[in-house]
Amino acid sequence: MSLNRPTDQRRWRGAVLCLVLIAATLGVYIQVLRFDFVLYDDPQFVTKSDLVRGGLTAQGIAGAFSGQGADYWRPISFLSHMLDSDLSRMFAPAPGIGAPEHPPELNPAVHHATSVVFHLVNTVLLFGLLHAMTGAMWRSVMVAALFALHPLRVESVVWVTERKDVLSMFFSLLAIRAYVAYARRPSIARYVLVAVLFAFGLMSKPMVVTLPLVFLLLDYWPLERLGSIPTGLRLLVEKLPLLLLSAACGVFTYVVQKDIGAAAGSDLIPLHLRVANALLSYVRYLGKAFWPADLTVYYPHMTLPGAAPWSGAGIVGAAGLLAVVTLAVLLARRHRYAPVGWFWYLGTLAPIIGVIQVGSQAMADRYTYVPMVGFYILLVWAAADLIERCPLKTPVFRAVAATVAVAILAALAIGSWRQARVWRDSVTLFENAVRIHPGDPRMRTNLGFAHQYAGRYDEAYTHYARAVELVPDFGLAYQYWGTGLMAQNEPEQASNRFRQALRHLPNSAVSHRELGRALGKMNRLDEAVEHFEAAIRIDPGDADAFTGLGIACRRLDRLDEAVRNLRRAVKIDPRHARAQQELGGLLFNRADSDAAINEALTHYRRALEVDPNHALTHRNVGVCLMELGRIDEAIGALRRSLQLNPDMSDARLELEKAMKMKISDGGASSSPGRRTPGAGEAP
Amino acid sequence: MSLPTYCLVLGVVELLFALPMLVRPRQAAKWFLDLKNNDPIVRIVSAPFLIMGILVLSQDATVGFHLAGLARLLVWLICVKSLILCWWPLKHARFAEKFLTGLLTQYLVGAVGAAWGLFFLLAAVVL
Repeated sequence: MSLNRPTDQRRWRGAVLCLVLIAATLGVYIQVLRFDFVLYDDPQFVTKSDLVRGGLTAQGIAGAFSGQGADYWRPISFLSHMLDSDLSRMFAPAPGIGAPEHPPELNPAVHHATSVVFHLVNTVLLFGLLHAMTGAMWRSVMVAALFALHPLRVESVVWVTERKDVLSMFFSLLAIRAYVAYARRPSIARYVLVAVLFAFGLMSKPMVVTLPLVFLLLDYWPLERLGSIPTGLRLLVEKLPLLLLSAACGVFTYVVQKDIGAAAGSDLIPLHLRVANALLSYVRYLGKAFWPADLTVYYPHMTLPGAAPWSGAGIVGAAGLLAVVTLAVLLARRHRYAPVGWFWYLGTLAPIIGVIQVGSQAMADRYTYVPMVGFYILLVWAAADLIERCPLKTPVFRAVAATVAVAILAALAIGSWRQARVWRDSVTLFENAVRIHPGDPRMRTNLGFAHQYAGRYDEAYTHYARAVELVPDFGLAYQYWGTGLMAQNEPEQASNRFRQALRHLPNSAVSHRELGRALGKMNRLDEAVEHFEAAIRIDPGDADAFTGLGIACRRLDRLDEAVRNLRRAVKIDPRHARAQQELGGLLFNRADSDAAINEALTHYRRALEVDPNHALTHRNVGVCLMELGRIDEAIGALRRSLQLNPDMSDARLELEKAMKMKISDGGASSSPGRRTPGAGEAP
Repeated sequence: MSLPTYCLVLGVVELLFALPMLVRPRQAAKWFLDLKNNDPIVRIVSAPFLIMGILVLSQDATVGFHLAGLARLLVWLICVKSLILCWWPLKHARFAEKFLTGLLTQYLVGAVGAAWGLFFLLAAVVL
């Protein structure tokens, strides 16, 4: 077992190398502080997540640990996003940094900065860890530099949602460090620390389930604890508690992903194609490690249109190549780093290689964040061995080797810098994806949606049309097209698009719900109700559908049903402002007691917690308060509504009445007779 | 970040460390010192507490002889301690080694930690 305590001189040299690594990595990633969020998972997990935007509160922490709003259980990554929201509030966006339209808790610069800091820390930790384990400073720094500067890392660092990657690596490296300390002097306390840090890694992203196997590899080299078969068995038994933790986490994640439909790919894609894709992906990742070109956020699965071409011969070739390399590293007994690096790569990539398919991608750059470390170890140690064995061990030769190494790192840094620019905003991200896979309708549709989000509807429709030209049954493009037309207040055309979407996606709750909204706008309320009900049948947790149904029922004068559906909506999502406003209005209109008015008032106030600048709701709060005889408060609410919308004439009238009431009886309670809160908008 | 949330987090963490020190002082102290000698972990565990403490104090940093004021005083102390742990973890570990050798001091550290933890939990509930 080699664990090295650096001398003072080596310590200083190590510190300088750390600074160089940090400076180079910052040089690549400093630009991301000017980047925006992207419309790809960021809305779901960050920008529109109430949990994240609420910051670190007791309720939020409980929500993160109960898996609220998560695709799988990863509370630590949610806590990290929540802390970012608090930090964002502290640092208001400076001019030119961060999109000004974002609320204070969503300053993208802060969210990006945290990911970059974690990547920097990971780089330094990796260097320190390898150096401490092997004593080989230059090899360790080369592995850390490859890790820090390779363009394959960009996705994990620049994509805010992928905080889980940098976090899981961070805790994995800490766990490895703790394991090294345990291996040096085993004790239960040290083992507990390893287990705790490993559990934190799993709670960041479960893909690190194979970390106990990495510990076994490290036992072989460089810790050299593995000598004979009985020792190996003992070391395997030693890892059992950690393996049990991995198994529990793996099963739990798979079940949750299956429940939410993310693991549906395993049912849709036959096993032999998943295995074929896995073999190809193992080799393609290596290809991208050597030549990191055409990197994109989405690589369509081989079974989908627009995917990279493949053939049976290619798959056999990939399997053969993997087998040959595996055999070679197994035979290279004198070079213990070889099997360790290779099996680190194969093993840590295994959970996400696609045999259990999650999502519709063939592979993803982000998946290489942890596994590639193994491959870099193999590569760097092998290259260094070759150089050392070279008969030309002259200073000139060494200088040439060092220059080549620096040139490779410089090229990688430039590549990463260019690749990071792709992530500047959603349009640049999806344009890059479309450039690399022009036949893929999904990214074409996303590009259209990015334009639509920016208000460029015509460009968006061009991309939707192109997507359905590429794949005529791609229903998602019709659905997005319909939402664009709805935003432009073209309900009739929108309803046609939603019907086309439903032809190809008959079980799309969103298409049913949006068609319901379009029909509501066209006053075809009975049909609207049918589609809202269909949406609810498919997704009983859709608060928007319940709200739409409630509003449609209200307009059909089916008030009991309306109240019932709106109550369901606010139960599912208490922060649904529209549902709270509508429910408040309905309850107020039917109120026959102060208690009922108070209930209406409660819903209005909940709506204002979410949307504090909604003038009509302030006006309605004022009317409720007048009914309750709380004239001073009513005046305050009505004044606020007029501040927000000075043209609101009925609020002005109510305010005048309230002022008169205050003057006439000093604000004593006297019911002014039932008023009607502002009518809701059409669904 | 609000003061009650910080108090809640800190209260739970303090009790997690302090209660074992009261129940099994020797083993807990051994584990604690082991952890303290692992400087990257000490730095990394301390940094979030420093950041969260700054977030709390950035809203209101005043101290006083009422519950919130006392809680904020302790937050100041935690921030200073976290800064020391981030910057000089090994010096702190050496200091802790001297301090945590006797059974009496181990009990004392456990009792003080538990008192702090309970105070923070009380503050989290009341504030």
